[in-house]
Amino acid sequence: MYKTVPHSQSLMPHLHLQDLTKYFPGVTAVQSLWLEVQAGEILALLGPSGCGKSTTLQMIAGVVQPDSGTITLDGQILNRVPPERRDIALVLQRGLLFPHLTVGENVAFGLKMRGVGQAEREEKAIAMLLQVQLEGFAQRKPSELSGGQAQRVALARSLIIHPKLLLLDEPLSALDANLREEMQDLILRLQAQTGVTMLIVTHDQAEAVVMSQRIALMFDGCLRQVDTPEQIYQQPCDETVARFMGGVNFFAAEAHGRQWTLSNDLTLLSEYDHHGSIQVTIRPEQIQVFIEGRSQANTLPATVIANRFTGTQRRLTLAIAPELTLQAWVTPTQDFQIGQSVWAYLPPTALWYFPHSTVPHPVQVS
Amino acid sequence: MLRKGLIVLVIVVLFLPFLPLVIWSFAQGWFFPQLIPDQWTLQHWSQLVSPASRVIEGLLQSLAIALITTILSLLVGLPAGRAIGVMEFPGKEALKLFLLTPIIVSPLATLMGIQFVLIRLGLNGTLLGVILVHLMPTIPYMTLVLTSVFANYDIRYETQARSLGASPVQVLSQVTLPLIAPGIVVGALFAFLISWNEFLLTFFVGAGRVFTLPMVLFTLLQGGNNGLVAAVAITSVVPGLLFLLLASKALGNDTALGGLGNV
Amino acid sequence: MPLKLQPPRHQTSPNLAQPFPWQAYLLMLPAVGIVGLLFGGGLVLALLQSVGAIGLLGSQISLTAYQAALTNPEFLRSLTLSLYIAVVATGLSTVLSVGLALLLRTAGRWASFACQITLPIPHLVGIAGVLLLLSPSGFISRSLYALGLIQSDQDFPLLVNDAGNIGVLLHFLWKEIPFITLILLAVLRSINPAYEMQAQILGATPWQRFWNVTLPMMRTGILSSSLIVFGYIFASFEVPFLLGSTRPRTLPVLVYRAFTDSDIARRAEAIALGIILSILSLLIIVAYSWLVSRGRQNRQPIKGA
Repeated sequence: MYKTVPHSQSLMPHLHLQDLTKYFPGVTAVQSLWLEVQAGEILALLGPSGCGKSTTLQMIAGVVQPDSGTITLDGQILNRVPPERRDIALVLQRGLLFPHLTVGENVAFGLKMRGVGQAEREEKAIAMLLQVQLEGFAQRKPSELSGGQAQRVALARSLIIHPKLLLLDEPLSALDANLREEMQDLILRLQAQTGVTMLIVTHDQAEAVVMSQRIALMFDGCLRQVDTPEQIYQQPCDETVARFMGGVNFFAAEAHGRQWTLSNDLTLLSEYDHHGSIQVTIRPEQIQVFIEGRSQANTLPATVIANRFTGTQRRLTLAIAPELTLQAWVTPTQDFQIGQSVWAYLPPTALWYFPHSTVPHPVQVS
Repeated sequence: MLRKGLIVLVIVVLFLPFLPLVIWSFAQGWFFPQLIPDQWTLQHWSQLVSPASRVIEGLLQSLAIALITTILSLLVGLPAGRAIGVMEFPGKEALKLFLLTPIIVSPLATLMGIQFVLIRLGLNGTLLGVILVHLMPTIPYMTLVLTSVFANYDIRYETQARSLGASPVQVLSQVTLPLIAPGIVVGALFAFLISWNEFLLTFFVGAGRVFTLPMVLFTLLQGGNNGLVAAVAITSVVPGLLFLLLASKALGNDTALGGLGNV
Repeated sequence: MPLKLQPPRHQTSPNLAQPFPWQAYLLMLPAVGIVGLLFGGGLVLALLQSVGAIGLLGSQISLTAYQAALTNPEFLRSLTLSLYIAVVATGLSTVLSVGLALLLRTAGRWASFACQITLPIPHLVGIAGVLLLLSPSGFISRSLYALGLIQSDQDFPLLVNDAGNIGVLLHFLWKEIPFITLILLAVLRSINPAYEMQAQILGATPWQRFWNVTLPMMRTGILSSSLIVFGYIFASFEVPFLLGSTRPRTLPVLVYRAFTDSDIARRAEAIALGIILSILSLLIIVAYSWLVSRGRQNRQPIKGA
């Protein structure tokens, strides 16, 4: 709800990673990575653990040196700039507050390093704590804080130095589910207030989707897709991306223009024009299930073979044909019996495809 | 209850040798079979301060040697402990084992070799020579303790500090050193106690000219003045005990001591 | 927005991927350098002296010093005595320390602190205390007389400078038990109590829990601390010199006597004996690292998050 459009749409990107590569003994951690982040933008770097996203973060922060490529921030090449002079602040998992300092001293740490006097430091730290709703916490020790409070202090500590770029490493993953939403709101509100550019590194697709304006998806050291959360959900560039984002329905098909024929001769109508072998996918929550048939295209007769209630959804497994099943996630108010005959409607706009090959095809870009 | 009784028994036994020491230091002519001396005196304690007993001289030399040795081994042990505790590099285990040799292997042969050189360098019988050989056992202890402390230290605190604008020097003084302070205290305690306790190394290299408190005590023990032996012995306990009391909080830090349990 | 996408490429690292860890070696340099120069250098010089390559009596290389050392009638008896003292004192203090550490595990801070009391006490002070406590005219002997249990100091068993080296052993127990206990307590506290709880739930009796869960987890700590203590006792000079038997003497005392002999020719023999002593201690380290590496194969180090 606090998501804002980037402040300045200048031609030059704010943060620019060009051909960034890093090798570690035995592995290529990051392979020729190109990425542009606009000023004021929130971008999530998403991928499974070990995909190279943390290495990328460390290279941007300056604690790991890239083997090749350049990092540019605000027009300045950072490769040879030490971390403390990059104007890039870092919020690590669990906040990582200095245990030997009070909360106030933690928040004022960056100012102290810059030689700001004691009185001014304290005043600014208290003001900053107010912004993260922790007034009166300045004298406490980090060990007395809850996980969410520690995370908020860490945010205050980073924002007090007015960084050009804020890096967040899995900011929500150590928090409880209900605390997550609160933190997420706070981060987005602070971002809106300060306009700081944010790069969030996470392995959790839900966290990436709710926090960012764009997602950069990484696998095995390579960037696979950079898009808005909506597009990554609806139009993944290949099956790996689709599965990582929670895709479960995949069928082989033969495309003849907008007519796609499945293996059992069922034909689906789509919005996309293609010819040849393809892989068809549709998100489970996009499928609609009806008890009575309709004379509408893409409506297939099916049998319910599994029905699982998750609280917010009812997850149905539907048999369309002997070797063709489909996952449909519908509202929990709709209930079905096992073995019941139903109709599954696959909206043409929701159908997506990848050509049958290992090389990802060019992605439609916004 | 049995548990408590056993602990009390252990403590009593551990304290037992101090009992005759304390009595002897105030006793005048305590002959067998008297359980308690007939006459008490302060003469052994007053003898301590007379220059003839060389106790004050020994105390000062011991203190100087132990303090300088502790500081030097800290300066050397900190980088080594960090390398072993934080970094991965080929030959790490072998180097760790090598650093251990001076506290496992008898120093007698080495001392005779070192003495050969120190005589030619004019360092035999000097404080500097004694401090140098005291580094042999103190560096390994210091390194072991600090290795364990660094192994349990989250290096990302330094990343965090750098990103907040701290230079490498500021990181060291504002983050690293305060965070490993308990380990430094434990390492320094061990280094101080080892140097303070050291007899053989001082004996070989000191050539009788460096006369530390253990040298005084060793000489007295070969004589027969039990009263003076007791007074000097009690005096030798005080600095180490004070240091132990000061460091008692840091000794509760298990990772520091764990280093000696994982050599 | 133009977007450049690369196909995924799996690639093993090229040679440049493994940067030489010069920084680690640089940090190690002062410690390794000083220890190497002093200890290693000293040992090499001692070796050169022992074979006559350098020294006071000209430079004629020969192994006569080693011949003299090994044929010294006292050598074997001294070696046996040194090993006996080191093995018995280390073994007893290790076993008793494991027990004491388990006792103190749940005891309060003051009890643990009181049990560390001998840690800062110099060995020579302990020697003085043991002498005044255990000698025939010592405090225990006087107490027994006062209780009427002995009639004269002749009735009191010889416990210092005795053939069995009881005084030496008691001194080492008194000094080393608190040291090992301190280390083992730290090890014990780092063990997650959930393991023992889990074993209990699976039906293990207290003894089985100790034997199958707690003790294996203390293994490295026990081996490490007993190695340090064994090395120390085996090389100790002043304790057997002042509290031990006069004949035979331990190896370090034998070396000292030969070195301070008025016959300067015996110096080379003393150094040769010292070298033999060092080699024996080195063998202990080798045996230890073999034991540890055997244990490490199926064990993960316990490390904090």
